[in-house]
Amino acid sequence: MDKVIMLRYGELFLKGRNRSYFEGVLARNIKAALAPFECEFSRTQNRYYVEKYDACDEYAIVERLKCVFGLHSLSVAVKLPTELESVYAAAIELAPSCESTFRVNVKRADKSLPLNSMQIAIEAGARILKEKPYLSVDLHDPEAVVNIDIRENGFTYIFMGSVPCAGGMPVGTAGKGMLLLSGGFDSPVAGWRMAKRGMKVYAVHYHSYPHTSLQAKEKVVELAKKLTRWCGDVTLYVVPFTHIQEEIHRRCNGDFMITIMRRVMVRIAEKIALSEGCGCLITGESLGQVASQTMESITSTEDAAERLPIFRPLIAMDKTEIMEQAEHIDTYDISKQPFEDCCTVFLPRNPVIHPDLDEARAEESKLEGEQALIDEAVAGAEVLKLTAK
Amino acid sequence: MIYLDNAATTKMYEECGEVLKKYNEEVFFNPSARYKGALKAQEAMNGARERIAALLGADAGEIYFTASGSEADNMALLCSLRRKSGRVIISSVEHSAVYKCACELERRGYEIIFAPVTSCGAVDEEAFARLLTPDTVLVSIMHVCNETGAVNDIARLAALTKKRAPKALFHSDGVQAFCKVRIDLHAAGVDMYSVSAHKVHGPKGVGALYVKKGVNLSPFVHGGGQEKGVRSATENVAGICAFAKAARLAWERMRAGEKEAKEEFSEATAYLRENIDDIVIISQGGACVTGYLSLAVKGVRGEVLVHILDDEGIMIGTGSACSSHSKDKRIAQALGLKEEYFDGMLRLTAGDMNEKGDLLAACRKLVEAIRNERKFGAAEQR
Repeated sequence: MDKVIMLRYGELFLKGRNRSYFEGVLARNIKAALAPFECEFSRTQNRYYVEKYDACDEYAIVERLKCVFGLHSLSVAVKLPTELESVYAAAIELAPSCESTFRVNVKRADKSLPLNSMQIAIEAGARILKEKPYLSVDLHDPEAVVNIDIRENGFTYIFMGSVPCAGGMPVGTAGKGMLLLSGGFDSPVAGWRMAKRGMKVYAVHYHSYPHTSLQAKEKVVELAKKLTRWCGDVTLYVVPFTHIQEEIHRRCNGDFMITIMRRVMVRIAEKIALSEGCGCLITGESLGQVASQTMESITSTEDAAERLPIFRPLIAMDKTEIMEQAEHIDTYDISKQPFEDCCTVFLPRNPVIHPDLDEARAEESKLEGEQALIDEAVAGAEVLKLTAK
Repeated sequence: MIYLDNAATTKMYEECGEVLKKYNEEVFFNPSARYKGALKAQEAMNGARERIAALLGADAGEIYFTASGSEADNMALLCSLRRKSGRVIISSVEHSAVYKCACELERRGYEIIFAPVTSCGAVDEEAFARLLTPDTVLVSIMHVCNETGAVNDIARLAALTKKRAPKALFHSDGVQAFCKVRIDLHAAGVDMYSVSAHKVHGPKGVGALYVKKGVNLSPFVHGGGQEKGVRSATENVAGICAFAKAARLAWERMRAGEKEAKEEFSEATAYLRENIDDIVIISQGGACVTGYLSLAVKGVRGEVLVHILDDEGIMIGTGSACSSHSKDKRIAQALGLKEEYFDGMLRLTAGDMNEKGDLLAACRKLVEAIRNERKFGAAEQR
């Protein structure tokens, strides 16, 4: 009796003629997620199987697979050659060991057996009841379901229930995006949501050492590493931003500091994005959350992106909803660490909350040698290739 | 590299490494076991207990080993009280380990009173005396302030306490004082005193609490009954022996360079005053332990200066008020600093391994960094 993890996928069915492409990407992502483990991965129609793994790794493998976008659910099953007596014995063993209600579901693709699905279910149920008399049958709303899946390949899989997986689309099937990653709660969630729709995520972070700490940068690296569980490998650009901030501070109206900073950030992100072949920028902006996320501020930021669209998957989400998602993807505890990011450096006393686009453009034009500053920042970026471990 | 954050932690003496190796690899036995090797471990630990006790003017039986100075403070404050209510007095600049325990005691129904301090962080003795009432059950005043290096005369404070609040226990956090300030705990009349190994060039993960004979603690860690049942857990024999070794060495070596260190402190503070406007030198030569230079500058964040000096190979500490881990301004407020100085607190602390000239070299770089930052004027915008 071998243990095997059965994987099911969902939305891919919708993709008609492209299905094999999507399946191929999903299989590649699953293999990447399984890379740290010794195991065998196989594909049959509509299903994937992971087997021949060390029992000690089972929990870790399941946890990894739960984060692979495109997978709908999984079940840890017992696999054995189709021979009814041993199938019944395995079903008895798997059935709950304390008082509860149950039913048996049988799927029978192998039509050569002498009994039909219903008959096998009745026989298995009867045997379970005999061996575990504290159980009782409830066909409509059972607490436990013993699934017996008899396949055509001569094997039967027996499992209890299934574990929901991440859903969504396989990462890599919807192009590439450059995520502006701060140390806060929002941007990791924004990246995660785009990855869930199949986007391959790259990230850029701006740091203002010595005005911000090395820990602030480490925090962002940790956040990006967390994302790799869901997004696969993430390339993180850590861009030195101090010089630019100093120049903005020196040359532009202080009240426009944040507006201009964000415009320059977008320009840098776009330049790096284009070099990586990304088709969009991604930000964690949520309408009205802070002064730099009013409609006018967003308009001013949007204006700085010359060639790429900016996707804002959190635009209409409440902070509480974002925090819940941050907890779900396990970035919450990292984001809440109180290290300042570059946006808190050189904060003006009265930042412009509703910047006029023309004024913003005019202020930015005071930033002499802007392109050289941008080029210098991009050239000075530290590039970190982060891999899911 | 110049390391001037010895109040945060110190580099371990090489000799301690040898002790750690011996008691982890050769005499690694559980001292409670019944074979000969275990007895050796037991003997080594007893010896360490005696040596640490001797440095404190205490008996070996009064030393309880812990896993840290913070743990010792927790044991002292949370396990010593028999009465269910009453007044607890701590100084307003106590380390978080004492401060947070006091908060916990407040939650349990005790009245917490903060004793005010002078501008260099020493307890104002007159004000302290007025706070003592007959219903005071516990006083905790640090021996040396971890923020400023200010030394409290704990013998006098303990005597005042015993006179005005005879039922009160007197605890002192001696983590920053141990091996720097001579103390005879029996003579001083102190009931409990916390120390830590890694502040005196010993290993991390070891501390001790002196508990005067006759003062009873309720168990802090329940289990196999080690440390007289107060703090159960298999003893960290290697760490304890290394602690004793470090304490002995630190006591001998630190005193050797004291005169030179004092001269350098005076020179450094004079240099800072001459070259930087709007600077407050918090540590005062006579009132503070040698090797401590705590200061605050206006208009530049301490953390930024730490980063700039770090890039020059000089490691210094920030004051707790401008630590990015804490928005807690209680220390800066207690010291009476003006608000514009809160973020600019810095702490330079020398240890046994510093060379002559380290402090001055750091101050020169500091002056340069402060001037540059001020020239840029970033601070005014904040």
